[in-house]
Amino acid sequence: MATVMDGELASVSVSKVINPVYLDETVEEVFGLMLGVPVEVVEGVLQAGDETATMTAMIGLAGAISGTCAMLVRSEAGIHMAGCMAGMELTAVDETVLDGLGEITNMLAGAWKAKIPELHGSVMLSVPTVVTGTQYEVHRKEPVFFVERSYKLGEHFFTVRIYGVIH
Amino acid sequence: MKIMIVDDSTMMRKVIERALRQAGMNLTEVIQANNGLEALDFLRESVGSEPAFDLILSDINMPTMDGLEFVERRKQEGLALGVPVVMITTEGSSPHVMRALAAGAKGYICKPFTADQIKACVTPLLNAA
Repeated sequence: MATVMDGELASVSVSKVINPVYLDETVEEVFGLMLGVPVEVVEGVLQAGDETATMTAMIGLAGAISGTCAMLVRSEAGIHMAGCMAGMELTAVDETVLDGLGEITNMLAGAWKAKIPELHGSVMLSVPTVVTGTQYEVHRKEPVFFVERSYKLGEHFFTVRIYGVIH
Repeated sequence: MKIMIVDDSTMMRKVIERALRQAGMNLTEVIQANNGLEALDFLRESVGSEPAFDLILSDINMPTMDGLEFVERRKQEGLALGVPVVMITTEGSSPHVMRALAAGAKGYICKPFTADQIKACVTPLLNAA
């Protein structure tokens, strides 16, 4: 899903920001190169109110756009991702898993903005933040742009969202 | 080969080390620094020992001291200036590249990366050193 909430699309960079193809290419690249695993696009699978433990890794974006790049995963998927990245089997959510998810999201944000020339040199990234829990909701102010895609990684699923305002 | 990997992510330091070994690098000692300040401390401690390091790989976005400040401070203090520094980072934009190169970095690798990409960047620098 990709939407612009307000105003008229006035520049090429805006249309690129909401183009899900850039996000899909980014996810395939990061997971293929750093985790060595293929991913495929699927319909959204992480539903609101799901009580399974989840993790949300976030990277702040600042500069030509202000916003957030977030990856939402269930614990099992997060453990699997971190294990692929570390090249070892992991069995529980620990510092390694949190670190790995933060770094994956960091690379997603960096590789995504690198695909959009207008953003590449004018958007900075924050250090990662990872939130864990079983029942929580993320509330955000209404963004100007919102791009969300879900992916399948083996038997696991995850969602990546990029949203914010354009300056 | 003695190297230093500077990154606030333990995971990324492991990934980088693994990629270097996959690229065929014979790593005899790998020093890991959590940020630019720790890296500077390692360089200060190694003053007088030859060679201090054969290669330094550094991230940019790190708390306490980022990678750009690290390479700039290394240059100011004249620490291990003969050791090639390669930035490995998600921040592949021109301003960051230019600032790192101006401060003495010899190469730049964007995350995500492959072992072949690291090898292609690092090998000429090691041969020239």
